[in-house]
Amino acid sequence: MAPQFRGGPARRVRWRIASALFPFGGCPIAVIDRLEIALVGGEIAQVRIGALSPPDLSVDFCLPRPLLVQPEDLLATEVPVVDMTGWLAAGLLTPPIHVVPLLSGEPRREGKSYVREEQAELFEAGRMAEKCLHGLPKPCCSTCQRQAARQKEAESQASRGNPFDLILPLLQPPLGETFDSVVALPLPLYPFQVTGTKFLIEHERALLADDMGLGKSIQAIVALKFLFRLGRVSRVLLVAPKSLLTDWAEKLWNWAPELRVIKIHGSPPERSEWWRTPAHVFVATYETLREDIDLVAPGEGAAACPVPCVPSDGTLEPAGIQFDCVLLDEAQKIKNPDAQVSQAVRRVDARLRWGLSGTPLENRVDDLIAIFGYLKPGLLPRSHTAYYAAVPEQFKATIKPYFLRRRKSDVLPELPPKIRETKWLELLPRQREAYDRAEREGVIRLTAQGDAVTVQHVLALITALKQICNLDPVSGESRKLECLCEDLEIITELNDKALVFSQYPIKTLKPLVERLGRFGCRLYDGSLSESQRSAVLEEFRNQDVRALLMSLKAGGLGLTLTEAHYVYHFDLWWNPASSAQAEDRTHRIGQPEQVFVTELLTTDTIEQRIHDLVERKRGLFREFVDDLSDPDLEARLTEEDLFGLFNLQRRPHPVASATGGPRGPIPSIRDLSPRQFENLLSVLYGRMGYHVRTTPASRGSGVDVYAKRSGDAGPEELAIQCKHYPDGVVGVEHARALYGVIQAQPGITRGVLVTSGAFSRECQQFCAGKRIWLVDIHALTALLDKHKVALSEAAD
Amino acid sequence: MSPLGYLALHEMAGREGYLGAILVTDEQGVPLEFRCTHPVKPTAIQRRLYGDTLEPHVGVILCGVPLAKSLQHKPSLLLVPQEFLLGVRNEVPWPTAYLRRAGKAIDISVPGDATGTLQRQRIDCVTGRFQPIVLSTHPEHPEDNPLAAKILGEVFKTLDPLEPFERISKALDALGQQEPRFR
Repeated sequence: MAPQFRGGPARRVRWRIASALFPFGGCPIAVIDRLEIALVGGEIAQVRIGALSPPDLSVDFCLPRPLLVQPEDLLATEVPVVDMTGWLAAGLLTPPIHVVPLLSGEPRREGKSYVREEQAELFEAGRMAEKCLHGLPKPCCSTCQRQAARQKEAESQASRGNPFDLILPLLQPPLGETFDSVVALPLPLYPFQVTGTKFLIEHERALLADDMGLGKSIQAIVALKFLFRLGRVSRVLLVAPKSLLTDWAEKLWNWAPELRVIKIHGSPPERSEWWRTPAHVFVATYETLREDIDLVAPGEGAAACPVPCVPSDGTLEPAGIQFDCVLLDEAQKIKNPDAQVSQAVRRVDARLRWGLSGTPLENRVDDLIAIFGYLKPGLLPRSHTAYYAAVPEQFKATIKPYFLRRRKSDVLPELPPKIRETKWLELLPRQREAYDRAEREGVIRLTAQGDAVTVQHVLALITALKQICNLDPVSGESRKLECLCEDLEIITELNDKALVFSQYPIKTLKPLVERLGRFGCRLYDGSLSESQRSAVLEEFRNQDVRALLMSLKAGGLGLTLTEAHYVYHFDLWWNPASSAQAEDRTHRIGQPEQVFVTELLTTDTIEQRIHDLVERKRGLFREFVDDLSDPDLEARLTEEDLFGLFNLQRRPHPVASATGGPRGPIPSIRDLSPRQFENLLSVLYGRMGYHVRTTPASRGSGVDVYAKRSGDAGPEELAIQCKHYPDGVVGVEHARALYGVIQAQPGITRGVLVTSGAFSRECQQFCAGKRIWLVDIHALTALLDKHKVALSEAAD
Repeated sequence: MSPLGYLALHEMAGREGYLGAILVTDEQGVPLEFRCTHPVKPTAIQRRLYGDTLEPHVGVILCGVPLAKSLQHKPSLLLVPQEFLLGVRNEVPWPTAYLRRAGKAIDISVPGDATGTLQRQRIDCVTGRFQPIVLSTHPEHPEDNPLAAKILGEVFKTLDPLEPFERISKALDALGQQEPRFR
């Protein structure tokens, strides 16, 4: 069908159209075979026009001049009619119509109600009347409660991934300028705790080393709360000893319930699942971290990805997990830099690195250097260990900005004191017989071993004898047990509880559990699983259990057991700090009453000899190494000391044998000549990294050795004066003379007065605050041992 | 316990769009409930077509009213930091108040700003811990004003009623970082 035109003079003309253009608002143009006609005034009734490409327009729009013909001629000529409808339909398209939508659809909404379900009233009459499957009132049945806790945990896991749990800390009210918000914290903080909390907040790298029981964990939790609310941290890794995981989880729940805490536990696949779970705080043991370190922090080359909260594909990112903060509880766990746990910790990167420790030093500079090696890399180079050991003031000044330690006696004078008592007991007859026989045979064995005997053999004998002092395994007699039973009778009458510590869970504690059955004792040692430990503690706290028998290693750290007011040390470890840690399970914040500590020791045994040795040594090292912490006597006892417990001669030091050659060993410092004593100091300071120069025998200044080296703080030159007075006392006149020398020589940074004896009190007072360091026989012994200097090296 | 509601329209970083959010707290500021919308992202043409009515439309019709109606904890007073959000008052039964810090400059160039016509009331913190605030209520609900003033007068002793809006903003930013659907 031909196109329809209206009103034009060519209304009846036939033609054939090759192509046509109909511009909007313009004159239509048609191309008709060889004939071309301009239809002036013609209208097209209907047309659909599609997009025309520019090339078509450019080619076809410039039409050749039309050949005009008369209409009559056209009428006379028969022109074939061609139907162009199909062609037009194919070539021309309907233009799309764009719709601008209105903003009328409501966006999706999400959210959460944070109100927890009301907790059951423990003594609600109705609930108490209800009996569980086990026949107990429901609120009182620990089995049912554990099942409920597991159910709650399962539900919690099921609801994981809810982002509204993760933003909850940001929605919390401010803590107040001094963390005084009664809403946000269950208890007000002590002023020193406010200081400690601010210390952590203000330092990205910090070691909080308060005495045990002062609430280090609470301070850390409040600091984390604060940072979470500011949005400065969103993911924290808390690494703690296994025995403390449950305690941490409870404290976090009590003090920061808005934080989502995940305890990493279970089999490797389960742990992998836990690591993937979005949470604020991941609580793991050092051992778990060591095992999972490839999940948490893959090896070099894989940078941690930012904010990997919810992996979209359900797998842990190959780049591991990025933590904003790593919190190491009992940070001394990484004191051995070569240990696998230390290596694993070092692989975890975090902007904030905090350590907590009641005894961070274990009284050794090396340990603190190792801890700060992770907390603040570069602060204390390991190569400077000798320097820091020699100049403890410099060491303390270096760590001071990142180190905070408060003693309990300083900040909590109101805490009731510990009443300490040592009960000396006679062994029972058959126990004595067994002990004497064991010691006699043991000494004979040691002697028979000759040169092959080592300190390990001595330690093994000590252990065996101490175990007999606790309990004779053959006769079953135990004087200590009798004493403990008597006391427990009284404690039971007082409706009180006791903690009993021993180093020997198998040889001592397990037999005790059976023998103390009537007191409802429970055993807490390293063989228990985490859930078993929690159950034991719960029973001790809530049931009629009068004594908790704890191994020193498993129960000595972190736990809060203020329900007990009596502590018994069934035996003692070398280091008094370990015993103090154990006592502080009950002597800590929250303890309103006095705590009675009793050490059970037997007379005329190895225990008494060790006690005498420890008493002799403690305090001396505190003076020298660190005035902040209790001494780690375990590390300071020499082989001589240990052999001496059995009146045995210490074997020659391997180094001495190697270097002494034909000169042979020199038994002790007292046997050295004055010149050899000077030589010994030269060797020692050379081993400590100094360039050493000895003065001629006819020196006039009194200085025997000059030692010089360059350190971070610049060149250091020591003037060392040696006073070889075995068993003697160095008076103040020597200190005055040395002080005159270093005053007269500006290049000398410090004077060192060394003696094989001791210093008078006047001498010590004179040197206090001056540039003179006093090294007595005990400090010297420690340094020689530390730097592996054999006495034979002092030979002329 | 008289919960307080905080409704805000949060403009996303880069002005890409808006999220509505509502926080309900107890009198001491502890969160009871939090809800927010997925982003509303108007196109450039929509921004032109809606002009100055865009934010009120998104804030009240699309986000504010649905959020308020979805709450499990009904607030005794609903606070808003943007004046146009007072519009939700016609759809919710709770007194609603627009809050701003006293002395805060108002952009008088914004057409339709009715601040000058709203009844304003200054409230001082009796403990002196916080700067004074000014509250206004919907002109069609004059009864809200004394009620809001009374509740805020009590609350203002212990907490700053403008502070929860900062929490909302931080929470929405964190949500956007963690969840693609809130970006």
